[in-house]
Amino acid sequence: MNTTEGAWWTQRWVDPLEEARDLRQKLRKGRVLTRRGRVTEMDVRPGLVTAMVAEDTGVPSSVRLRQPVIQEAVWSRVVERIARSAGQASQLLQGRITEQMVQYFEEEGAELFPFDQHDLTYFCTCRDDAAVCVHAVAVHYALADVINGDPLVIFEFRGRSRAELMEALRGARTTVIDDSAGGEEEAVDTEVADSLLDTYWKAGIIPHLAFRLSAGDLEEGAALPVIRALGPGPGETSPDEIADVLAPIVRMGRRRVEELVEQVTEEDVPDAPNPTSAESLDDVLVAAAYQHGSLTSSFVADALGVSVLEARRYLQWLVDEGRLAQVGRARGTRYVPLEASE
Amino acid sequence: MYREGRETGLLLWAPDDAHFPPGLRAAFLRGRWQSNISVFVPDGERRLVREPVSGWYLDAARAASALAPLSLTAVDRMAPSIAVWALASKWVVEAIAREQVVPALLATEDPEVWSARWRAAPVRPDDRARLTGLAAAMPGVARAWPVSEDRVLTADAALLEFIDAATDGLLRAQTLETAPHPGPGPSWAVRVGRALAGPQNRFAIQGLSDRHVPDALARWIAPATAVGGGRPLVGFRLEEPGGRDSTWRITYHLLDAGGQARVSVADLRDGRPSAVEAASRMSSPADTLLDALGRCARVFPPIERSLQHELPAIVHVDAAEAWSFLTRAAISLQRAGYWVDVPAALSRVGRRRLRARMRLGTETVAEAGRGGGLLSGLVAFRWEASLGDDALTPSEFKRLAEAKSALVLHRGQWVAVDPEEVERLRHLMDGGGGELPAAEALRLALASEVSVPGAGDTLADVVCDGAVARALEVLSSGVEGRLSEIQCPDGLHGDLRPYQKRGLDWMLGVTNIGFGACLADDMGLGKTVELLALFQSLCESRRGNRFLVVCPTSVLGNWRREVQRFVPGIATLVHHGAGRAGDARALQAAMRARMSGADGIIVITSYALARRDVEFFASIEFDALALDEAQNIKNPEAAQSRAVRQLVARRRLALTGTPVENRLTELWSIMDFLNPGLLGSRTSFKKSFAVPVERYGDADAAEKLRRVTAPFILRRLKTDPAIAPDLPDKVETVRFCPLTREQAALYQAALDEAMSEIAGLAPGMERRGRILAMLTALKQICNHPAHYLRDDDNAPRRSGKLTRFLELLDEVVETGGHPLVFTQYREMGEILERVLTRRLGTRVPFYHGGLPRVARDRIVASFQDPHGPPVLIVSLKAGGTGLNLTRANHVFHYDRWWNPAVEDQATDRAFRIGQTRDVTVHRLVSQGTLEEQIHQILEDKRSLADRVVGAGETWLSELDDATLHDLVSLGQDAVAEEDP
Repeated sequence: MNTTEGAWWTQRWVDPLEEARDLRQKLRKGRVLTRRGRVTEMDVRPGLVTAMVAEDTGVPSSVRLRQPVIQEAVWSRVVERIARSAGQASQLLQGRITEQMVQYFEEEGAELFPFDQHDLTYFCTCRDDAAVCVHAVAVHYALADVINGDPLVIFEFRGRSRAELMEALRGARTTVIDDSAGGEEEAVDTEVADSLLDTYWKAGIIPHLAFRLSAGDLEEGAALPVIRALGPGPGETSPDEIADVLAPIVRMGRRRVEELVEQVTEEDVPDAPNPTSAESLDDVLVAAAYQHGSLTSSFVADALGVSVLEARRYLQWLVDEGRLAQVGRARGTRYVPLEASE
Repeated sequence: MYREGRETGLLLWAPDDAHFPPGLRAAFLRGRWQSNISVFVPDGERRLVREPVSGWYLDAARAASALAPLSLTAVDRMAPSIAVWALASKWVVEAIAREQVVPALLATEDPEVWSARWRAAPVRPDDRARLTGLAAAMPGVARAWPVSEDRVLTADAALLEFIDAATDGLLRAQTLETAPHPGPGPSWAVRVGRALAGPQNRFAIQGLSDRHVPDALARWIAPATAVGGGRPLVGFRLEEPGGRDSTWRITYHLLDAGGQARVSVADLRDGRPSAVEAASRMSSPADTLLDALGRCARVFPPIERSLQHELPAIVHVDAAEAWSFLTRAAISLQRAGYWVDVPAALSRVGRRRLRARMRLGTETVAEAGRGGGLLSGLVAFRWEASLGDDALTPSEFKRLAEAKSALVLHRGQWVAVDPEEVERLRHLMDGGGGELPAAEALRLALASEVSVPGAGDTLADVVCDGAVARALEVLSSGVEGRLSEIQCPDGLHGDLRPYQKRGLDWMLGVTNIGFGACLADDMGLGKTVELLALFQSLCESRRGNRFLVVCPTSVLGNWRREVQRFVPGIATLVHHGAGRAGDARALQAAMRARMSGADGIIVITSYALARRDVEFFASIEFDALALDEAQNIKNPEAAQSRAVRQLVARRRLALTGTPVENRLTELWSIMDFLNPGLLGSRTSFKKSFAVPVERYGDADAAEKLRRVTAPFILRRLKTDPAIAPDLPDKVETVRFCPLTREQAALYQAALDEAMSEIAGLAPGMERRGRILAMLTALKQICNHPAHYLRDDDNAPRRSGKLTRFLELLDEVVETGGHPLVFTQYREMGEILERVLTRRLGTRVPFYHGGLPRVARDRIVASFQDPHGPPVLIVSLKAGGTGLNLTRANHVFHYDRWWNPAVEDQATDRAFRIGQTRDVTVHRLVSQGTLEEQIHQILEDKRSLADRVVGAGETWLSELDDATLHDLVSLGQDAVAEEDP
């Protein structure tokens, strides 16, 4: 992997390997394996990373990578210090780690990142007896890829999952605010059907809503204002960068919708005859006949809200006009598009 | 709402006896017919059962496309289950128009494959309240689709599902070929973009570095998509320095999900109980605040300085930073969904902000042209710098413009001086002003705002001098209802009620200074009399006035009768039918002939003939031109609307009983007839008023439109406190209507046949029986040919009475009235039931004696329910037995009983208990038929009638041949059908 593209924390994770001169060959090979997607089934737990690495031939190797977790007491003190600074807490809430946090660990007597390769223990099922094999390197880099997009994985590896951290952060606050009601509660989005009974045809009063469509300038650089205000996205991508990727798609969609806004409706043509007698309805019915293969008078009556007799008369008229043909008799009468009857 | 596989959409279905709403049929007919979709349906015994239903299906995007353009008035009339989706569709359109959308990835069965979806971001403060309100109003049937054996989606979930599905569908191109390419960026983002651009929504995880993307994306968009769940909004307030040594500061706040309760973080930190209590009802307030502050610091870096404390509450900023917050950060934070409060006086339209202002009407450049008064010619304008209400002197402007900071202390107050605005002002003021068409100038003056050239959507105030200012003064005093010295015209038969006198004064006032006036009083207030009083008054100040009244064919006869009754001194000429004048000269000759000895003349014609004969009508200059039922020109493109605009008159008037201010195409058309150019071109009107107001409820646009049009429209309601005391409890009107040719032919044939049989029969049972049979037949023919022929073709156009009745009914229903319709015939009631049900798109019940007691009680209860059917048809006999129908405020007697006592009894009993509203009674009478003859007898000889008329119609059967013949034969103007 080209580490210059990665975040500083990614670099800190791979530094111990890349600073070891004797590993150069293996590093190159391992990186190739990672890049080719040969690392699979990776799992991160406190103190342990496991994964499978497959080369072009031979049995896939099972790799384990270990580092002792950071002590409870250290974690508590670090989280307290983070909680005391809104800036640090905010970064953590946004899923980011900072140099300042790394500093806190050091000051509390622990290292967040491995200092050198000996801080880590590699185990691999391959035949290479060295402390670090190409498979281990591949897994190390694979974890770097993951950390790059989601740095809190390094915290998980060192003993604290995301949820545990957030909980600890809340607990460490000294202010009166009670955040215990918080947490990402799973939204309940279904309920038993019987709850519909009382409101089946009518619930509350339909609110009178107002809408404002003009949003001012949404052109270059200002498109997707919500996205731009969300802060960095996945993989530390800047929001402007994400907005610029999506802007052409949204712009085209918005233009389509803006046409819809001013689209002429039946209401705008006040003198147009009732839709049930308008020519356009003929077209609609003929189109429906094509779509469904055939129409029956009761079907049309239902759709148009007219009596079956009226519907039959209307369909008969379409037959007279040469737009539909009648097939079958009595209750089996159906009306089909002209071509279909031939 | 229902979901099939991955696709979400709407299924439009209805129980057997309901009808599809008009306006949606065409859209849904283009959808897919789905049969046997299982939904929960109430089984009538307080249980829900799963039953298959059939209906038309549209996917969410197509459903939203069909529903979003509906006017809010139309939505209001729809069943709640459709109204909710229509409003949700409008919300989606708004979210997309504002680009309030974010990308999301949804899991599939394969952990390596995700499906990309656009989601709408309800980030504006009122979004939450609006969506919560919509969910609360969603009836069960709208989400009766079973997600499992016995469960359905909650209202919140169903609403969000529809909104997201519609947003996604509307933003994607339909085909791969037309799908736009994402912009350049990181691989994952480009691939997500591709999965959002077209029909293909698959996002495959590529390698380990992709794995975090779905989860990270979900966390990234969470603040923008969270709705409900109690997560608070974060807010920022810019506060001005309190004293000399103090600084500008931005304080932090938390708002509850509905945007109602607001807590300042400082109060919270100090442990103020009310704040702590409010915060305790929010979920994760501290996490939310800290997360937001971190994000917002990237938009407005000074926030970073406040992040040293555990719970930051405030950041102090200098004047330059405050300016940058005011002009830039505040806007982007607001757009991203944060609550932002800045001193209103410093905002772009604030009173402490240096702004451009337009001064109008320094002099009128050209004098008014023909009849248009102030609406033609040019008006000069210039630009000036202003602060609040004050114009700035050049030296003040110079001093402010040269200040180093944009926020300046001026006369002890902080004022905002935008360097860009200064530049623009210099440019505008150096430009020296210009000229505007008078109509546009007047529109700007009435709206008192104008957009600043070259400044996007920046608005400037408008002030006026000279002729424009004087016109405004007249118009505004007219609106205030100033009573003039003018007396009621002597030649008017009958008295004007006080509000009618005010209406007359107002019409005179507005038209005296050259504008057209629209009298839009409620039905039954007597607009016709007010107009005739105006005509009489004009004739009394100068004899020989010539007026033109254009009205629907169905009321031509009614007009002639009203003129003869109220202003008999003015002659009438009905320009209609085969014998009408064929050219301008013939018309003028006919007018002169009629006018001899009269105070003036009123030419009455129909819209159709005004159109056909427009060339020679336009060659005559009338003293006044009035359009009756002016909603007939609601379609500005229609030939008759174009024709009436070509007619020439000193005064233009329009009468309408519909709430014209709520139907904007119609409003434009009528205003453009009255005051050409005042509302601008139709296209610009549609864009800036019609669409925002009618379809999206934009209050600012509506208010501006009201300011511009109010001086020219007078609309009073029967319920106005100022009007009600002037009105009798029961306003009675007779509505004359013509026969169609078919009706006249049937009438004549039935009459001839019956009379030949009756003639010569000696008085006795047989003669009586035949006469009654004939009367019944003739009345049925007047009602509707189908009533007589029983041929099942209920088309309204076959009956002049039904046509007129529907016009009146539309007017009543559209103004929120609740009519009762009485008929004495069961068959006619059934015809009306079918016609009205179809026309109104909702089941209209028919209450008659043939129904079981339970059904009758149910009908009464449903009509009394505020959400029940707007109309109730009642058979006269059944209606006479003490119904309690107090919701009704209009009574139509579709046919006559010929016994006023029976009618009155029916009407009165219906209103007997608890009736507090004024009632208007409409009696429909076919002109030139036995109906009118008998009506006259009843009116003229009320006392005689009381004596002669016993029970029912038997007195008629006692008449001799000659009297009977006079009574039933067809009159001259019975038919008023347009020539083909």
